[in-house]
Amino acid sequence: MNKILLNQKVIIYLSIETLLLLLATIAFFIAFKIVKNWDINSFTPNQFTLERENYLFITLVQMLLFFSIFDTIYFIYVIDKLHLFIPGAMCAAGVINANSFGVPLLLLKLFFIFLLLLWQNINILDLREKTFPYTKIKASFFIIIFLALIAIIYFDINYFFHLKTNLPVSCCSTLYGQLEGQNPLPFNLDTKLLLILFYLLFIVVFGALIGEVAFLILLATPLFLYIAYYSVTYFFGTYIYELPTHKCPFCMFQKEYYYIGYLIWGSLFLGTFFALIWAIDALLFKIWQKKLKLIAQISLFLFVIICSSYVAFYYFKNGVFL
Amino acid sequence: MIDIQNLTKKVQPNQTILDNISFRVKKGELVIVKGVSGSGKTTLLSILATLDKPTSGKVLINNQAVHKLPDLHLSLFRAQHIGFVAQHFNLIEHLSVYDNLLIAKGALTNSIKEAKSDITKALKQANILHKKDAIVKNLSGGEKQRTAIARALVNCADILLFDEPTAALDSKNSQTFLELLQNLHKMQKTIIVATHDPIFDTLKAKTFIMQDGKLYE
Amino acid sequence: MRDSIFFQLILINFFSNFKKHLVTILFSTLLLFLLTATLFISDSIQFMLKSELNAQSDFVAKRVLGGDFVPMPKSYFEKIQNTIGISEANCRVIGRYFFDKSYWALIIGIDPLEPQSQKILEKILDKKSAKALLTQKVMLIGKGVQEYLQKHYFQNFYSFFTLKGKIIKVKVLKMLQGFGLNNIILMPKNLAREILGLLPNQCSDVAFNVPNKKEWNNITNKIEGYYFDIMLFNKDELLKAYSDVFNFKGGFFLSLYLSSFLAFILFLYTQYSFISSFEKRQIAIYRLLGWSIKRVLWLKLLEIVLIIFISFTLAFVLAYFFVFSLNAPILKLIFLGSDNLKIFSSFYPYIDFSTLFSIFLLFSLGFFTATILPLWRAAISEAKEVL
Repeated sequence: MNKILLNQKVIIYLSIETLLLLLATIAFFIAFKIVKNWDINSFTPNQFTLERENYLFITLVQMLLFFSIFDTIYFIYVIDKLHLFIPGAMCAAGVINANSFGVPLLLLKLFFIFLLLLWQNINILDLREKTFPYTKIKASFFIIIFLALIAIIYFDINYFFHLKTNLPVSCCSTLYGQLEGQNPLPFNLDTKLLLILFYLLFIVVFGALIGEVAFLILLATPLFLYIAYYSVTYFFGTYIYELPTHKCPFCMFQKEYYYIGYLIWGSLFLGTFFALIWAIDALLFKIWQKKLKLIAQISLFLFVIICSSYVAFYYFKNGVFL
Repeated sequence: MIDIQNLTKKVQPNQTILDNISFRVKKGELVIVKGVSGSGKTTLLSILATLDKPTSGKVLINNQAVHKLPDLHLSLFRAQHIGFVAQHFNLIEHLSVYDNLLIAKGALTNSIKEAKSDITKALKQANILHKKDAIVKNLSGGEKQRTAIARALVNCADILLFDEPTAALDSKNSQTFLELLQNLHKMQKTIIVATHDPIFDTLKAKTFIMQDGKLYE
Repeated sequence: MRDSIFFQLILINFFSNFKKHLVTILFSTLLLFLLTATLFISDSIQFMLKSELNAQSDFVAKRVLGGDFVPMPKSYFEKIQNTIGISEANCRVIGRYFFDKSYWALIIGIDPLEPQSQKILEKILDKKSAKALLTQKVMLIGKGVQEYLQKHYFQNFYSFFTLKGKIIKVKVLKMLQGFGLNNIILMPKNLAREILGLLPNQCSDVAFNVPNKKEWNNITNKIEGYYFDIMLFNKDELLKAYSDVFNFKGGFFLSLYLSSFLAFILFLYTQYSFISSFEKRQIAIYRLLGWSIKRVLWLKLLEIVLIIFISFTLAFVLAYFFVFSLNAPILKLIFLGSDNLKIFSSFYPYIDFSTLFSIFLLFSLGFFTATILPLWRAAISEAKEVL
């Protein structure tokens, strides 16, 4: 038997996933019925039943969203703690790269939350209208979300069943370090260009939010997310760890760095997700939601401020850059 | 304003309770619907109270086609516009008068501060303020009715529906109720009373007679 | 909170259906208590082990013969001591002394003039006891040892039997305080040698520190190269081994626990599927007054949140009291074998909040999954049915 599967945290995590799947399955059956039979203008008892089930469906998905957010945070926490059991791993980086299922799993989980947030957004728009115009879209969309959850469960099982406690893995310095002058940055960027791009894209996204240019947000935000990932891993991270060679997106989740990783990555994902949802609303539904925009702006601003202040504080303290 | 067009309600395919009813009630009007028990008065009232949906036909209240609304919006509409006083009052017996009104207020707002002044006002209008903290179980029939009326008034509903309001009252209490009803009528509320009690004959009001699911003026 | 009608109504409803909720709260508190208490125990033990290991020396070198550990000539110690990068090397005299078949204590010989590789020993040795250890036949004993002595009518001394049949009377100097010291006897090194049957030029093993952690691998290779009958153990390996044991035991317990959790979910489902006419009437009145299905459902769900919160708080307080005040009777036997029981006299109050959070997450999710369908069924009660 695989030793990892007897770890308390892994057992709890997998149990949570099972319960989430159970909730989603109930919601899936209702969604399927709605896609097939929903007709707001009908007066049949069938439609009345369906309408009542619709409220259950909504509550189930909202619960799924609520618990998925905590579940993802918990997942990161679990893999961070597992480094004690896996030889060679110093933080979550080694654990998540221990087999080929880890990274896709994490990305899927983040994407899953984005999908659920988008769903919740459509739901709010739907319930506002007296005719529930988007209920069918909502239900079809949930079927896609359900498939994503199935994929997550598939990766979950494969990831934890193939996590070996006897095979040594690489630590973050080998995974993210520059080996033999290789440049890990995309588009062959150097650090200077990366930073210029980082701040430029931030200004573009932030400006587009203020000017409400939806399609620009839709284009620039994913790019910003991409560049921000590299900037934090290869530049800002080194200031968090105060070590020019320590390049890792995961170590900052640890206690030594005051769990700052949760705040940094959390604000980045929250900001980009909400900016994207705002833009999708504006383009598809012609609805401009002020609250969404404000949350996106605050989160993104917070993210950039935290990252930049690490560099600034280091400079004030030591008088030099790394 | 209430506008009913070709309203039909069937329980089973062959059992018709309301048969092609059409009528209008203007704002501030007092309407009495008379008929023996089992004639369909209660069903008509619960459709007007948006608690039941018609099998066919239209129900327009304040220009809103309520028969089409989904529950989420219908409930909101009910809370805002309709006060319903049922024959057995439908109060929660083990709670206080105040708590019963708080539930009604809770359908629209979440702030107790906001609710408090409205509750006091409604209790005053229904003449039951002195029993504010009493448990409903311990009230007399007349007091229970006034509590139910206060609850119907607490969200400033413009339409009030009464189902057999005097059935559980003695003649003295019935008389008090009539006075209260006239006061409410003066407040420009649209009022519909379903009853078979002859005491209402003394009132100056538009009267309908209900028989075998049909409505006659 | 105080200004919220929702909150007020949740409380009202909670007390209206108090009997039903009471059963649920009792069950869930019991279940949560069991889990929380075990986690408190295992967290506390792991914490104590970790801090004890941190106070230990980085490396211990042992000599192996016939697959068992045997005493080591002093020459080994001198060679190790002279290796560059090593500090506080100590020729340890350490071993079990069996008072009778069922009870033993760990004798540790110390020389107050030597540097101590174990930080904890430095703390214990004040001037007075150091002086006594240098000049007299005395010992410092843990609480467990003292209890044994008192049971056998030894007031402040014990007469040790050496392996050669000699009797040595040793006075008790003072009691040792602190966890991990329950079953330990400290005495002068030469005295310990005599009692344990070691020759004057022998050590039980050699303990030493390597301050530069990056050199750990190097040093290991070097020393294992000196002698082929030497085996090196470092602190991290011990830590991992200990973690493995408790990881396994905790996980095993949790798996068992989850099956009862499943039963609990089923219990909740049936418990909340039964809706009394009294409850149905209440909900219908809410609906009559303009509460939508969605709003009623949320009100009911928040009632569940209150129940979860109450059970969790109760379970937490009870478990804390049970483990850290009552010292976890019965339950600790799951985690501590009789050997370990002797090392720890009581649990150090250490709580890992992330574990608590994870239980809370799992538990509340399970609770909601079990109750959402019944609650929804209650929430769609039609108002017209009670008129």
